[in-house]
Amino acid sequence: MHENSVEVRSVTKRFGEVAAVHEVSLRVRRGEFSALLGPSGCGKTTLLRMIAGFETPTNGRIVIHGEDVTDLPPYRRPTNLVFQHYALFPHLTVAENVAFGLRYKQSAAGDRRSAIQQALALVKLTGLETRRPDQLSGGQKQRVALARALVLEPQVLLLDEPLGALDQKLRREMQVELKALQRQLGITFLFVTHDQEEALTMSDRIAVMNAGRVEQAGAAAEVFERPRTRFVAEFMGAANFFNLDAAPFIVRPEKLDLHLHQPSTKASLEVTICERVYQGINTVWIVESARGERFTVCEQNDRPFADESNFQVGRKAFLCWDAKHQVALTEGSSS
Amino acid sequence: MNRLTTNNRNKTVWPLVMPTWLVLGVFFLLPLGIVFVVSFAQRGAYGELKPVTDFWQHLSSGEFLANYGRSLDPLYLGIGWRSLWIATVTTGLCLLIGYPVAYYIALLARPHRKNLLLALVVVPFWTSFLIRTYAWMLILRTEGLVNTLLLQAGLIGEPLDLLYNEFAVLVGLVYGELPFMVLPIYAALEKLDRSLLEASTDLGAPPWSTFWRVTVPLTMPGIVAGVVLVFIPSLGQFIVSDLLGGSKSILVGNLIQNQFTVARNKPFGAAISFELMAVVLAMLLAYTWYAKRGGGNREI
Repeated sequence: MHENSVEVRSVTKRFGEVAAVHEVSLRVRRGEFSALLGPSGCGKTTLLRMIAGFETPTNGRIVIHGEDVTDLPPYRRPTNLVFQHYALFPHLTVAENVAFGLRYKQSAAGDRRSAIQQALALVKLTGLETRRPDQLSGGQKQRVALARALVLEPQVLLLDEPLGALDQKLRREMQVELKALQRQLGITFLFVTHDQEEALTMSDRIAVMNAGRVEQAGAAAEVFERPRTRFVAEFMGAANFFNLDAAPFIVRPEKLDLHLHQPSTKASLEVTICERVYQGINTVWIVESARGERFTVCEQNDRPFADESNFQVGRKAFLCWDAKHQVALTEGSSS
Repeated sequence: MNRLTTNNRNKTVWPLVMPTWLVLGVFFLLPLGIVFVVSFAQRGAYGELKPVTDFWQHLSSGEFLANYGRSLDPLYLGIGWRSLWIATVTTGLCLLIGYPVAYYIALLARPHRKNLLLALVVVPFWTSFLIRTYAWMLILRTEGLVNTLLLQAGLIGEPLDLLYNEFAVLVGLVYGELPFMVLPIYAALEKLDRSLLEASTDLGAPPWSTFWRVTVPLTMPGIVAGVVLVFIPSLGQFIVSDLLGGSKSILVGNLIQNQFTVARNKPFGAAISFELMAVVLAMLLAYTWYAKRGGGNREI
């Protein structure tokens, strides 16, 4: 029983002169929902494609469930990929799409039929068997793509920006459904996204990538609360950089407070209020220190409006935080 | 500019379309009509049209169908079958050779080479087909290129009979028609969504399986277009069989050509022409039916 579903061992991928992925080592744990998070061009999709088998690493090995698959083509790997734009076969019905890969597995016709039924039920698409892809909505197409991959019972399910093409509401629904699905099936899910909120909602572990390298990998909450590099801090929305003493640190926006008078129990910094953005659930304040550094404060709107009038744009206030919420930054990547 | 109501539009469009109708009418429909009428006549002693003295007797006795009746003679039917056979084999060979070529250019060649390769496929058209067919004579004849090379290399003792037979006709036809198979298939392959091929591979399909289950069905419109573009001209052609086929290989095209020239039997030639046209029209109708069946989504 291998603990790691996927092991990426010092993998580099070069396209000509450019290294899309540079000596990345990663471990995806069995039965977990993991995410590769990063901006466009950071190499996350290339890495996913190498795990799926569509690209061969220039250097390094890829091991899935203890088996070195680096030289194996996609059709011999125990992985299946859900494509960003679904890649449903337009000349086949929903049922035929889902059944496509079953032909390569040893099973009786009856087993196949029930497997298809089960897969469609799992993604809540029972009854749409005879439809064609051009008769489906975006959300339905996504579910067919999922069913088509899951019916083959892969050891690792790979998803390439699965929710990118869906609207906000549908996205949120699918996030919850995918999470529940993964928990129900117990297989390893690895997905790629540029949306940090999505990564947080769905994954147990996140690897943040930048320019071909993994800057930080760990439990989702860990990466969110305690980013270790500047890039990760910025990407996770914690770009509050304090350079007060020797060691630079960040404090997450929601851990910062604004007070009119300097408190004695917390660390503080005098700032001027620059902007106030009302966002419904929260209010975001942008403040500036005497040295010209900017900080973002995020506060939940549970205080009555009367208090707010004291914090007007242009006024001075005190930015306060608990020392325990300081997160020290280290430069360079870590894993 | 919203003066284009239906009524207005017809009035505006009509004079623009008239030239086309005029050209089509005078240079296409009119000659076709004349040939059609001639097909019911008989040839005179010197190759002119025999005047019909009694029009009603000509019709009621069935004499006006004499040419069509004669075309059902086993001799001529044999020519017809042979033409169908040659056209079918030509189309089959073009498909077998053309698909891999199109596949290579569309999917396997480096992007910056694609235009060059496509140009190479089309370049032969810059030379007249007649001259290219003559060139094949030089290549295939007894003292020609192929035989000379093989003899000099010691691979054969005597020159091979490569010319003036069915083999030579097929070579000439396949060579001439190949681009018409390659280009539509290339177009269909270019439009193919590569991620579908990746999906197929990911789902467990080895390369051949992906080809038969995904690539071929999705490029079928291109294949059908290529087949139509190769088969129909092959059916009626006469240049290749004339130059490369020798006396043994007379096809429908040659038969018609003969009737209008040496045999001086224009009515009979006209009748056979129309029979050939009927066969081709039937196939085109079948193709149109096939294209419509795809829900109007066949773009090629």
